[in-house]
Amino acid sequence: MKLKEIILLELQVLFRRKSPTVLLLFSIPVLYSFLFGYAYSRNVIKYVPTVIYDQDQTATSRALIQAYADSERYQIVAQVTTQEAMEQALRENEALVAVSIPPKFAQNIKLGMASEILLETNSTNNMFGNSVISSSQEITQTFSAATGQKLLEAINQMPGPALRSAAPIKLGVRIINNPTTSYTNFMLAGLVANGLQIAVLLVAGTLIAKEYNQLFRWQDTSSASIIIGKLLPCWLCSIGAFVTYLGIIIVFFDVPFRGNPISIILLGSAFTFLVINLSLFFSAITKNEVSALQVPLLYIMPGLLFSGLSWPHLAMNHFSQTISSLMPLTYMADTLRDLLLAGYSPTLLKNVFIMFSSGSMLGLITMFVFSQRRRKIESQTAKEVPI
Amino acid sequence: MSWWHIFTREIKQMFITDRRRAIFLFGASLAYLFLFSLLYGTHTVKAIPLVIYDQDQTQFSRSLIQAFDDSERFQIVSYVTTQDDMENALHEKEAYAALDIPQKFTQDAKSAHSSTVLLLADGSNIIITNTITSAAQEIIAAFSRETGARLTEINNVQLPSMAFNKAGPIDLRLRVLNNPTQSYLSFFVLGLSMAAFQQGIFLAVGASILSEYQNPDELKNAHPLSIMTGKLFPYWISASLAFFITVIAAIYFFEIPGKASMISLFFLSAAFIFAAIGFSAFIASICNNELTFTRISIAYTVPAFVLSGYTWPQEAMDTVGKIISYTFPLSYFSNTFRELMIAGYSPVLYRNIFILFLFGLVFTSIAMLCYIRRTKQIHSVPNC
Repeated sequence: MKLKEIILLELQVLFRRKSPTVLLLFSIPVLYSFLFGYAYSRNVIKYVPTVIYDQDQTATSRALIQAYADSERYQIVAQVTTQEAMEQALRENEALVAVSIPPKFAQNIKLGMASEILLETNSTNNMFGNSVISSSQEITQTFSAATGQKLLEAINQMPGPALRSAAPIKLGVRIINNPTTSYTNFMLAGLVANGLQIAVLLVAGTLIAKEYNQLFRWQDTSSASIIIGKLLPCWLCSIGAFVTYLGIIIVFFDVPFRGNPISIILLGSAFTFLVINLSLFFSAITKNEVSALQVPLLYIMPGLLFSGLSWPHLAMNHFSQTISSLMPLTYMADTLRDLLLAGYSPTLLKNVFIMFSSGSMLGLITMFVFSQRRRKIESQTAKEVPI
Repeated sequence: MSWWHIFTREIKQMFITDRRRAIFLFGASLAYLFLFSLLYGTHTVKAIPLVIYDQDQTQFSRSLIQAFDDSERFQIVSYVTTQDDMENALHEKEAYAALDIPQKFTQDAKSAHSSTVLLLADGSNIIITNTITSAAQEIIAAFSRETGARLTEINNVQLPSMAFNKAGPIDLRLRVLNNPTQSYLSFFVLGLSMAAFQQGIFLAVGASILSEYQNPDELKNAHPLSIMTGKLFPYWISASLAFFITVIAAIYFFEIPGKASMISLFFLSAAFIFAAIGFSAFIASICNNELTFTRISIAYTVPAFVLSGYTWPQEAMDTVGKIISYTFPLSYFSNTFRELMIAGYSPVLYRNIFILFLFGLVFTSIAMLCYIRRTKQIHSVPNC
C-alpha cells in the first residue's frame, strides 16, 4: 500500500460514519473549554464569608468593619458577640474569615499605645488563604495610615505631612500580563491543552496496537509508511482541534490573544506532533488497545501538574524538574500562556525545537519497535502455517 | 452459583488471572501520592527571581533592598541601571518581579513628602504573583512603619515607642488556621491521590463487569443480586484497604497532617468507595467494550478533579459549574477528606456520607438493571 492510500484509509477511519474517532479529538478539548471556562468564569475569589467579633463597639471599630465590608473580597455574614460563636462560625464553615477587634481598641489607639486586630482564616483551601492574606494586609495598612495621620494631626501636624509621616513609603504594584490575576487567564489554555493531550492519547493510542492482530493487511507495506500514514491525518485533525479550542476560549471566555497566530499554531503543531508520537509509541509497545490507553494513565494528571503551568519550575526540586522535563506539556503550557497573555515567549523557539526533535526521535523508535514486533509475529505465523 | 462463589472467583481474578485490577486499585493512589509529594515537597514558592532598579542609590534605598534580600521569598538575580533593562529582564523571564526605587526616594520619604516604590510582577502564573504581592506588601509595610516612626520621633519630638505606635497605630495579627504555612503539600496532594484512587476503582471494576460480557455463560444461573454482591464486594474491601494504606503512607512517609479520626475516615471512605464502585459499574454496564469504557473513564478524571471544588472552590463557580460539580461523587469526598485530615473535623461529614451512600445505592441499582438487560440480550442472540 502506498503512503497516500494509507493516509486516505486512516482518514476514513477517523471520519467513519459509525462512531467517528475524530469526534473524540474535537469533543474533549471543546467540552473541557466550556466546562472549565464556566467554572472559572468569576476569575477571582470574591465575597469570602466573614464574621465580625467587635468587642469594642466604637466609631473607630465600626469604621474598620466598614473598610472590610466595602472590599469586594469580603462579605460579612454575621456579627457575633462571643469568642465561641466566632470559632463556631469558622468551624461550621459558615464563615471562612473572622475579624476580631479587641476591647479598648479605639482607646488604646487614641492614647498612642497602638492596638491590634486579629484576623483568623480557614485555609483548608489555599485559594481562600491567599486571597485573604493579601487583601487584609492592604485594608489594615490603609486604615492604619489614616488613623496614624489623625494621631499626628493631634500633635500639631498639618494633615498632608501627617499622612506622609504615618505612611512615608507607599507600594505601587503593577502586575503585567494578567493585571487582575484572573484564574481563567492563568489556567484555562493549559488545562484544555491537557484535554487535547488526553484526546490525542485516546485516539492515537489505539492506532498501532490494533494492527498487531491484522498484520496481513500490510503485507507489502513498510513500517515507516504505516507509522507516517497513521501520524499525518491524526496530526492534521489535532491541529484543527487545537485551533478550535483556542477560538472557543478566546471568544467565549475572553482569554487575551496578544501573540502572533503563526507562532501559536507553530507551538500547537509541535505539541500535537510530540503527543501523537508519544501515543503511537505507547501503542507500539503494549499488547492490546486497552493497555495502550491504560499504560500512560499515570501520566495524565502528572503531565498537567509537573508542567509548570500551576506549580512553577522554580519551586520544584531537581527530581521533580527531571520528571517535568519528560512531560510534553512542560514545553507547551507556559509558553502558550505567555504567547496569549504577553504576546511573546522567550522559550518559544527552543520549545518548538525540543518538541519536534523529540517527537521525531520517538517516531523513529516507534518504527523500530513496530517493525521488530511485526517481524516476530509474522515469523511465528509462518511457522504455524505448515503445522 | 452463590454470591460467595462469585466473591472468591472475583478475588482470584483480581489477584491472579487479571492482576491489572489489583495494580489499579492499590497502585494508582500510592503512585500519585509519591509523585505529587515529591512535586510539592518544597511546600511554598520561595526564592522568586527579583531584579532591582535602584535610581536613588543611597544608604536608605539599599536598606530597603536589603529587606527584600533578607526575605526567603525573593532572590535578587540582578541590579539594572535602566528602565529598559528592567522590563527586558521581566520580558525574558530572567526575573518574575522587579523593584523600581525612584530618584529622590530617600529625600522624599524623609522630608515628609512620601515616596512610592514600584513593584512590577509577572501576572501569568498567579501562584508566583500572589507570593510576590503579599511578601512585598509585608516588607514595605514594616519598612514604612519604621521610617514613619523615625520621622515622628524627629519632627514631633516623640519618644521612640510612642512614635512607633503613632506611625502605625493598628497591627494586623493574622492567624491562618489548619494550614498556617499555606503549604501546597497539605493542600493539594491528598486530593490528587484520591482522584487517582477513583480512577483505579473505575478501571478495576470496569474490567470486572466487562469481562462478564465476554463470557456470559459462566454466571448464567446466578441471581443478579448475588452477581452484583459477589462481584462488587471484593472491590469494596480491597479499595478500603488501599485507601487506608494510602492514608497511612501519607501521614507517616510524606508528613501530611493526619488529624482525622479513623472512624470518620472509615465511614467517609466506605460511602465514597461504594459510590465510585456503583458509578463505574453503571458506566461499564452500558459500554460496549473495555476500550470505550477506558476512554470514558480517562476523559472523566480531569473534569472530576477540577470541578470537585478541590482547588477552585465551588463557592466561586457559576451555576453551571456548581451543578456539574454536584453530580460528581468526588466533590462530596475530596474536600471533606482534606478537612478531616488537616482540620480534624468537617461540618458536612454526615451529609456527604449520606449523599455518597445514596449515589452508591442508585448507581448500583441502575447498574444491576443494565446488567440484567444486557445479559438477556446476549443470551437471546444465539451463538453470541
